[in-house]
Amino acid sequence: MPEVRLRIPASLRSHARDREELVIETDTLAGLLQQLAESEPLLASRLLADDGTRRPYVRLFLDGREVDAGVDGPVPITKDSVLTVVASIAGGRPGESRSLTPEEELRYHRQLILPGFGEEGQVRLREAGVLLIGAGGLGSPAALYLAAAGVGRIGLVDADTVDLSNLHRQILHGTTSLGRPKVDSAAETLARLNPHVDVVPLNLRLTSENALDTLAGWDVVIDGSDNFPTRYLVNDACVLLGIPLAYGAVFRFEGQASVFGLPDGPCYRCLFRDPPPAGLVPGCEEAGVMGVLPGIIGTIQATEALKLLLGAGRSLAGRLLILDAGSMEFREIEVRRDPECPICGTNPTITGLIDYEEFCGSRAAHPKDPGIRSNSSEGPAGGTDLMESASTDPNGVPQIDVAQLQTILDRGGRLQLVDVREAHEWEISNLGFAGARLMPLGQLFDRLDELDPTEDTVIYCRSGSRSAMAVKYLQAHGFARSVNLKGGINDWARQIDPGMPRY
Amino acid sequence: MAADLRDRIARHVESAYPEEACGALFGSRSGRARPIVTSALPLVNRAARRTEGFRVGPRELEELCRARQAAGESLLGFYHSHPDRRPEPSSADLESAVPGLWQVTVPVIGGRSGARRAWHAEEGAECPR
Repeated sequence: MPEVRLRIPASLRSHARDREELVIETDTLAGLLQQLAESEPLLASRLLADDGTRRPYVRLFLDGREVDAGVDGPVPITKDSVLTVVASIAGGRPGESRSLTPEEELRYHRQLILPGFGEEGQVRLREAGVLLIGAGGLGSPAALYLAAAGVGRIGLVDADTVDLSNLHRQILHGTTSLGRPKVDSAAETLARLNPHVDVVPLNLRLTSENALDTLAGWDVVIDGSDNFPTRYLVNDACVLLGIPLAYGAVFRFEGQASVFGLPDGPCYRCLFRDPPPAGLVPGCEEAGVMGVLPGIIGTIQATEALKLLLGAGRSLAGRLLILDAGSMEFREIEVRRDPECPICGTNPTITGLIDYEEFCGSRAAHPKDPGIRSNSSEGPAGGTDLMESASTDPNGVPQIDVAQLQTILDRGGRLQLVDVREAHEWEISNLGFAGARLMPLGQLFDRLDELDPTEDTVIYCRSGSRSAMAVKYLQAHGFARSVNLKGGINDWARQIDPGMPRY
Repeated sequence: MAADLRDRIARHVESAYPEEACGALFGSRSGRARPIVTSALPLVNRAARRTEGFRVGPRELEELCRARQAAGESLLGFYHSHPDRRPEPSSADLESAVPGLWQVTVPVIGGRSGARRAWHAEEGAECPR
């Protein structure tokens, strides 16, 4: 049974015989609390009321994720975990005040003097809460400006840790934060900038199960996510909860921004009913992104959020703003509310959150199409046992791993080795020494005649997703003996040639 | 609580006016009804609106408690100010008061501290000092 280390805060330690930590073997949160009630009744009574609900000053975090004993039911514990008890020590003078302190007046002076802003506007911001999905490229500039402007509560949802390759654009984080949870690093940065802001770090991945609870109660949501399943999830949750959504997205040199989810305005689905085929649009890590671009788009999202909170100006609702940073041109397209929209239309077919991974096709959902599968009983034709040693991925694409490729190469088997990445990626690392040739995915379709469909073919890219698409395409076009290199060249660098750079 | 500690708390809450100030009380918990306070240490007020309330950072409190424990003191409770209000506990105070710990509230009217109140969440005991 997993062991849970229960961390006790200083203010409750006197109820646990002054111990900082207790170790309890259990497989559910409820079981843990029950054992605690027996072994440490005093401490247990300080954490939970008689009816089993958590006392108002207590918050419980299981491996950094907040859990609520009274609400979440029997939270399963599958591995050794840490349950941290946080007892909030707070309070305040009786009565409410709606005026600004002298310090606030000075801090926000330059915006207070704006026409139509004033003390009332500032108090409105102070009482407002904005939730940011993602503390990355878009979330960084947005959170910084919202904190600086005095938005009272800023929530950050992100389950990632800070990576060196994030720092060229994710300016909430610095070199000293490498490896730390992004939400923690972000909370520190924002507290330094403006200690009046109540930062709520939510170290979790947004899912269909937790999205409605996570988003409820916020005044505006800013979508800084980097993938389609999350984008549709956030859109749908905002529409269902009636929360305005400041949308933004970036790709290489292009950015987009708009506002969705207003009572009369369109939503993301009115603009894009269906997601693009999985893998067609590579993410930042494969396609690259200019660091300053999310800076521009993220600050536009923050501007829209502030306008929504203040009820000022004309929002981007109904318009999609498109920025081409290459030519530095802003264009605008009109987005109308679609009466047929499955979620915000007149007869919605989506009335709750769905499985967005499946909706966006990122997970295998359908049985393999036999028409595009290789027939592995044909036997070797090109001198290797490529198809025989290949396995299939969850989408039915045949694949080999880097060790298998090395074995084939060592045996001197005849092989077409094709790199479907971009030229700048080839410069970082390549398998040219083994005869690999570069055919970027976008050119593959025009250059098929350069390849021999009867030969054994291995396709690779950075991590194996673009090449899987290429293999699917090749299989459908008569290349029965083509396979994907699982894990891509980065796996080769990891397992076969540690001297090769990874990216 | 010794007079010099009371003065220290008064100076701290007056200097923070019009914002609320907060701090922790340490001493010996020797089984008596009223513990003896031997240290009163200021804490950073981390509330979003410091003129309206106070909030203690859990990490800061952990570190302080660890240091005081090494010096043989335990956490007895907290103090905080009520700028331009009476010292009676507010609803927010009562809601987040941890049972077993003492709370001392100090009114600060126009920048000058007044008569404090000490109270105890669980027993509801109150003893003006």
